[in-house]
Amino acid sequence: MTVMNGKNTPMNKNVLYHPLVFLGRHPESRWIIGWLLGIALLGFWDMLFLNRPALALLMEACVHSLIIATGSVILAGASGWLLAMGHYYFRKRPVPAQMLNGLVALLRSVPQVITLIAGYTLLTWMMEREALTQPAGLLALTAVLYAAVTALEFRDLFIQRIALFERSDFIRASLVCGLSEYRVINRDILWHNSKAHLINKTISLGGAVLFLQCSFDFILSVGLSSQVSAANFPVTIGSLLTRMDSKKDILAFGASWTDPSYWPRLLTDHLQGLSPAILLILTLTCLYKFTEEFALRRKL
Amino acid sequence: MSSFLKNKLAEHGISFLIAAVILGFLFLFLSARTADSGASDLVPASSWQQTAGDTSVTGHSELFRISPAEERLRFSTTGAGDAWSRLISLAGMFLKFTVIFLVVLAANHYAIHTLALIRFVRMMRRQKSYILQIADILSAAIARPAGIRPTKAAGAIVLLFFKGTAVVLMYLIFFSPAYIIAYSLKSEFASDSIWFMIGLGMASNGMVAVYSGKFLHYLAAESRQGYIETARVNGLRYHYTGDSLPLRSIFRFRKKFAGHELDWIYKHARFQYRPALKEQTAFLLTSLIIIEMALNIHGHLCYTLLQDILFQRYGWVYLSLIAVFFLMKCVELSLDLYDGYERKKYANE
Amino acid sequence: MIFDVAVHTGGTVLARTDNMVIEPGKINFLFGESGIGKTLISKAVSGRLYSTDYRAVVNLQPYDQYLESARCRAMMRGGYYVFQEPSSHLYPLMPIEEQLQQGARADAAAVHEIAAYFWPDGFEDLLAVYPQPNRPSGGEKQRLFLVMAFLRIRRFIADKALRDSLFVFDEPTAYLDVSQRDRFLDYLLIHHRKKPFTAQIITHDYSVIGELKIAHPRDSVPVVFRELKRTESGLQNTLFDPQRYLEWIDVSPVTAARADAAEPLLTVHSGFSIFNRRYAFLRHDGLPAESLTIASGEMVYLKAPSGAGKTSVAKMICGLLPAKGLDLRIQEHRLIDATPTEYWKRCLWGRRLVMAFQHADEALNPNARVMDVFTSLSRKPRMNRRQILSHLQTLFDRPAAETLILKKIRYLSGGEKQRINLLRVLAVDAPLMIFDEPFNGLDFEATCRVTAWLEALQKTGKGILIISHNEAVIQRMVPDRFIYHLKAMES
Repeated sequence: MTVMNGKNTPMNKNVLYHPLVFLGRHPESRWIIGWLLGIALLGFWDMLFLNRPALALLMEACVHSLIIATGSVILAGASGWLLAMGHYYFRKRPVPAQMLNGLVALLRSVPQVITLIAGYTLLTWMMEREALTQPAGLLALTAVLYAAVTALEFRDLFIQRIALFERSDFIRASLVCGLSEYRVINRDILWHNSKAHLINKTISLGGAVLFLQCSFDFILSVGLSSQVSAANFPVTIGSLLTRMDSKKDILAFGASWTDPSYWPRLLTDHLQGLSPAILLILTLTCLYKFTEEFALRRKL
Repeated sequence: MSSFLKNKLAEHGISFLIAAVILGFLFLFLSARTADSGASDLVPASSWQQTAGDTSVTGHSELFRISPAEERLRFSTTGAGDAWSRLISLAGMFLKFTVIFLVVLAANHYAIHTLALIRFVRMMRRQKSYILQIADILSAAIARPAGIRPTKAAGAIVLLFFKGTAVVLMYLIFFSPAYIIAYSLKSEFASDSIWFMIGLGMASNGMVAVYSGKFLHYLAAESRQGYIETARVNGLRYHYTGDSLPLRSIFRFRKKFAGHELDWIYKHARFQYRPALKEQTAFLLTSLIIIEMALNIHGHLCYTLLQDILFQRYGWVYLSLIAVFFLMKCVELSLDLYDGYERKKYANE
Repeated sequence: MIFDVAVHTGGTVLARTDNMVIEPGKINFLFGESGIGKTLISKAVSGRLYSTDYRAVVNLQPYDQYLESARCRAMMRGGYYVFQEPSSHLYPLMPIEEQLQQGARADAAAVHEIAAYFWPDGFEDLLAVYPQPNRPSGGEKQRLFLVMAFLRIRRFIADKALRDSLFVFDEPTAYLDVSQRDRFLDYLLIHHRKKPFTAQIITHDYSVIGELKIAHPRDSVPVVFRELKRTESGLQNTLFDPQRYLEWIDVSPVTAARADAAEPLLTVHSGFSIFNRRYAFLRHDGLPAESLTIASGEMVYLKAPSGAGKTSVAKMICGLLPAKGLDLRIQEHRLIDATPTEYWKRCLWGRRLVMAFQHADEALNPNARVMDVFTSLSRKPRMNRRQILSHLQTLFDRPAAETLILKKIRYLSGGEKQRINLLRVLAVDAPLMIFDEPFNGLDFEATCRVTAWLEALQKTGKGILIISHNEAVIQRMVPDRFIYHLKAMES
């Protein structure tokens, strides 16, 4: 295929698949590349200058944070899909529809933070009573808690996508040709024509869960119970930041702005606090910028 | 009272009541469970009396000792006067929280719109990113070394590098959780001052970055609408250069762009953005609560809430949460009324 | 004026032709299949290609340079562009009167005078309205843009310094009924006689040829008909011989005797209500009809003004819209208001009836390949690739069919999508077929092919219901006795 550019000179097909051309046509991918490079560089630096136990703890924290974020996004997606299917199929049945709408309205009316505070209070209470002792169980329930505050976003997305196609004749035209409604809604609309939206929503909610998680880890460090504290919970990036050593490292970072001669020491002696902070900020920034530019380019 | 207002009051009132009842049951359950577990640790007073003799001082004092379980359930450990002073103190903290919330809400609203407009104008000017501009200068220098003055090119690259670094730093600050910024500046600022709280509320937790991005999305979507083509054909200016659109017009509080298509784009984007305002205020509320809790700011509502959870004073916890929830509901109701008014105006009713 | 135009997105060429001809001082009609590039090329030539997504090269000049050229400036100064899809081109936050006057430098009297021509029954209640999706209606919005265009035409006529300007009308009659369309053409010619200007009218409505021939003697009409066609050497802008159309259209339908003994496939009784509007059928002679009936091997045309509810009635017949007082029979199935959707799903959809919707780009899955459109149907056995290829050749040439089969729907032109839409209905193979605007987006050649195909379908014993505003084309196929009028009354 010969393509004309503004200067009226033809371009080769091969040129179109050149990495720089790919980056030019998918500018959002530079944020993922930057994120991965940043993590790789940080990991390499930590391997050189961070002590082994702290490095092991950092890696464990990353894994736990990833499990919670991934688990909550998957659960939120599944719950959101169920709620959306309920909304769609119960429309003609007033009683189930009203019950479902009432439940959704209730969930929506309570701010996220109140649900999370109540949820964490319940978790700490269960831990006090030793009803919850296994880290795996705790990770799973934490993921469920975050899924509860984010499921409605998936539900709204699915309903919005279905409503868009309902406004046109797409669903009607497919039904009258004998296609099954379930297939039209789930395969044609929610999968084939909403993949970009789903990817965007998944990544942005993953970032949101990570942010909320780290924030609540900080709150837990103050303590929600006299018997349960952050130490009882599996270690996460947020809980690493709450440790005294990490707080000192961040204080040192702040102090070094007025003392540039301290910067070399900062990058070698204060990694215990700086590494999770850099990892957190880098991840939040890159994930968000990726989803924003992806949405702008795809006109979502 | 119009039927729209009645419906909205009913809707918010019912959801407030239901949530209040559910939370009430939750904290009653927790209180009861806590009381039971507390009581089981106690030795019954009668056995003390039997052991120590009922006329001893110990025996008498035991009769008046209030059990730890009772202590947790009650709003005050000693008498009604302390409960009232606690209530007044809580009301004061709630008022302070509300003032901070409203100030940050207004400031964020301005910052979000202004940042989104700046980014939109850059987008419409098709301005390349700083990295690509540096790459262009370098590739031009490599291709035609004779035509390029090295000092000028180097100067341009340095300036672009600093600009790019400033933008990256700005985003890193915007996306930093509040506690990281706070702890970085703890030794330099009084972190319990109200202005520090307001500054943190504006600059951290990704609030301004995320919602300016959202508003930018709306601006971009509006710029692709058909009516913009009509506007251009009807003679509205559509160039985004400094002559056509001065930068100071973007920084004004009341943003108007007379004779430019951006006026139409901005107004309709703002109109379409109304549903997102609820989400924005809810996120801001969450953000401020997290800031107060995480930074252990004494004398502030949410830190006190955290202390009450820690010491299992569930009555005060419930009251604080309901107060915050009530604030949220008032804001949502105001936004719904504003939304209803705007829609009615343009719906030819 | 001849233009060499290429519009692309940096990686993909969207439209490219080296002989876009616009004859100055004349009214140029531009026909062509939907989605072929007429709008993009016309926008580029007239200096109205605003989107930041597109790049254009006109006469070997980058677009920024072309916009500064004397020729482009001359066309733009005093000219105007009436865009397609009027519903999205009005600003929702400004009253209509303000939008009409914007940039027109016209006084209220001029606005009222021109508007009165398009609204003989009065229009004052429209002026203070904020545009909404349902109000004004599509036809009213279309007329508003024509008013804006004529305000500029009058300014052009009054301004002696302007020697020529380009006025482009993109599908100006899509939402107008026949009488309104004719009024627009008359008005345009009246103004053109006062002071000639260059106009380009992009349209699929070939029946304007007939109207211009009947209403105006050919010699005095400064009109040129051209067509943009896809050929082996790319897009070509060729002269369209109006005689081809006139000879083709001037064919009477074969009047077949109605086989009264044949079991009707469809019977719809008059007197049903949809959205608080009661409907009744009238025969071609204007007398009330108790019901609309279609038997095997019959083609019936349902006629009504734009916005009367023909599409709603078609959807009701398919069980997609609820109706009150419904009494409908499809073969052995009797259907009333209370018939549940499950019954339609189980017994009727894809089995006894099928419908091709008006807008092919909404009816088809944009991310499905052409092949998937047919393999996803529930017919047993599923069509294989060879069968699909053969099926496509009903309405496409073999080389085109082979190119299309693995393409995604969103990459097809409007005319191609429309043909796939029609072919899907054929693949379902139900005895009763309903076609809503089957000629939407088709060029003349494709229209001829589709009419021949519909006539062949009829001969195989299918019952066909057609809804179309292309009366001239339909009346070529359907005898009067099979034409029903739809009458709508407020309940």
